[in-house]
Amino acid sequence: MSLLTCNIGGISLRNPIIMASGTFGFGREYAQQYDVSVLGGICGKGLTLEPRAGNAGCRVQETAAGMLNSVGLENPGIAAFLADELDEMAALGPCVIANLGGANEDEYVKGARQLTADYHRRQRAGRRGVEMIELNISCPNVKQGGIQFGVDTAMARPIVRAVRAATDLPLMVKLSPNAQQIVEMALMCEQEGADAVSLVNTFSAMKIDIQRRRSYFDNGYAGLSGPAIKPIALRMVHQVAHAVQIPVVGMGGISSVEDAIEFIMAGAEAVQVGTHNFVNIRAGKMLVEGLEQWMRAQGIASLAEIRGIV
Amino acid sequence: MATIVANEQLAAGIFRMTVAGDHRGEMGQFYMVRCDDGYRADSYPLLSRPISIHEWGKEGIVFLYRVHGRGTELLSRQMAGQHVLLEGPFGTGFPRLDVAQSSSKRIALVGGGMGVAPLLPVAQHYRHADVYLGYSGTVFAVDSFKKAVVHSEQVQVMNDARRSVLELLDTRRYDCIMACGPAGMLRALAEQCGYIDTMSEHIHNEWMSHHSLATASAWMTTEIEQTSAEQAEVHSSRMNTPSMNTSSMNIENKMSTLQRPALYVSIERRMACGLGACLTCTVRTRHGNRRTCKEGPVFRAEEVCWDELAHL
Repeated sequence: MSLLTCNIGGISLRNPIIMASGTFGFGREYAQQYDVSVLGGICGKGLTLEPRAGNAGCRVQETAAGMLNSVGLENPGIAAFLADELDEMAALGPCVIANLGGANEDEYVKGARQLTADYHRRQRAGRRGVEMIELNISCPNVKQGGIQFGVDTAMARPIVRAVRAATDLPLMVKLSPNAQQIVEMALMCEQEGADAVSLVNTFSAMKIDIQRRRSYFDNGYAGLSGPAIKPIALRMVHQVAHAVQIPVVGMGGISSVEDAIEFIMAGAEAVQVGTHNFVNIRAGKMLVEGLEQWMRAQGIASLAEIRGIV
Repeated sequence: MATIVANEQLAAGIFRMTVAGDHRGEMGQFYMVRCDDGYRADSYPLLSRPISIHEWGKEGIVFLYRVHGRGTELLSRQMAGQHVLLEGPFGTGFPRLDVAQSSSKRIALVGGGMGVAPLLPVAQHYRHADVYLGYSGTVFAVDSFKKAVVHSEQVQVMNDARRSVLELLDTRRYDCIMACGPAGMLRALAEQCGYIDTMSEHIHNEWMSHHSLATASAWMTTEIEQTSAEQAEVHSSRMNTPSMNTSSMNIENKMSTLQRPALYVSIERRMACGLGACLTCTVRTRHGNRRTCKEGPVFRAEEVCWDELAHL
């Protein structure tokens, strides 16, 4: 087991394979397909203080080696998540990470407080709850909140600061590749007390329906993910991991054990897998088992031996 | 991994693929299908394709599909002996009434184009049902339907790009109609059955635009009801969500007093995961957001927001 263990913000994960937000629901649907307890962690679907219906119109298009999505943070709201989803999610086994979105600072702070208060209530009762918050300042598919904070370091700083003050849960900030200066953004998160950063979210991108002569998406742009973005994501993870001291969780098109190892060699403490869950339903299990096999075959005793060696 | 037993072209661009193995499911459910690419990152297409169950044959499960893009084109080039990757069955299909109950019901099945595909298991189950099949030039699978029902005269075909299969159908003759086809056909059918009232649709849209946030919470907390035609009839008189405003409710109640057949429609939506996690196939319904891959693809007509569906 210790072969693959890693640590984010004082939380020990059994392995570095985490399911990315928005691609795994709250775990229930995949738990019906395979034993998800083998995973290191699950980032739940992005939550906001109030329920959101998400975007209208087309929400997904496939592209070469990737996909565009425009879901727009459809979610049941934090209160409904805590009441109806969390018990089941916590029973699955992997680290429970709540992905928190918001339209403004007030919403982020209230959301963080609600998740944190619930954690303490459950802890007093001896029950598992949300163990980490992933602060989403990088969703490209919502008009208000999300990406606007994720692009500009000066705009993101007060959000990170306020959420840090609102929670004593480990805080991981999810960064956008659309940030003007992603290294500067990561350093700011570190300065403001974040325990980790995760990157990258989807790239703002586009696809046009030439018959109808308009974008496929009502919002115009959508978020690109999948193997197409992996080399850029890897470069960004490499840059950030070499600039900050806090753990970096890498993601962007990871589709194989080799991909995961690349991110770890670039400096990632752990990795997240998103789009590949749609390609291979058992992607998480495949990566956990494959990574362990690779380590044994290479005679590597701990991820630290290879982490950040490039 | 599953072995292809046969992959025959039935008509121009229309294929019938049989895959060996005990692949279960309910009528109206679907599988996510892809060529056996070992899930490689550089494989095209990246996403699997949702394809509904057409039949359970002697040699395996049968999928009927049209070559639409490169994904289905690749699938069509697969030969017997090669492999596909299947995940499923997924989704909520057509209601299954018990036989004693269903034989006293007057049931019609309406399929348009590729929409005939998921209706074959329904015809095999409700063998007394009348079947209406609409095509625009290329006819396929008609013989399968004729074999499925008791008398081949129960199957009526309209093959005319300028005319609708709905011209053949008197909806008042039926207690229950199950349909699959283009959004325009489904909408016209819903209208013919009395499910679309311009005024209520207008009020409903107004209501949705003001309450879309509140309704979103319903999607995960509501149990998926095991639907039946019986329940649908009861349901139509109590379908309003508690928060719906009174003017809308009055119109709905007025409509529900009409003798309209229960109508189930199977809708199509692009999807990524197929199992209810990615929320890319969400549709807005009168009870909040629903996932086409999980609560659908079969929905009751009174749930569907028809104007919105036509735009997707």
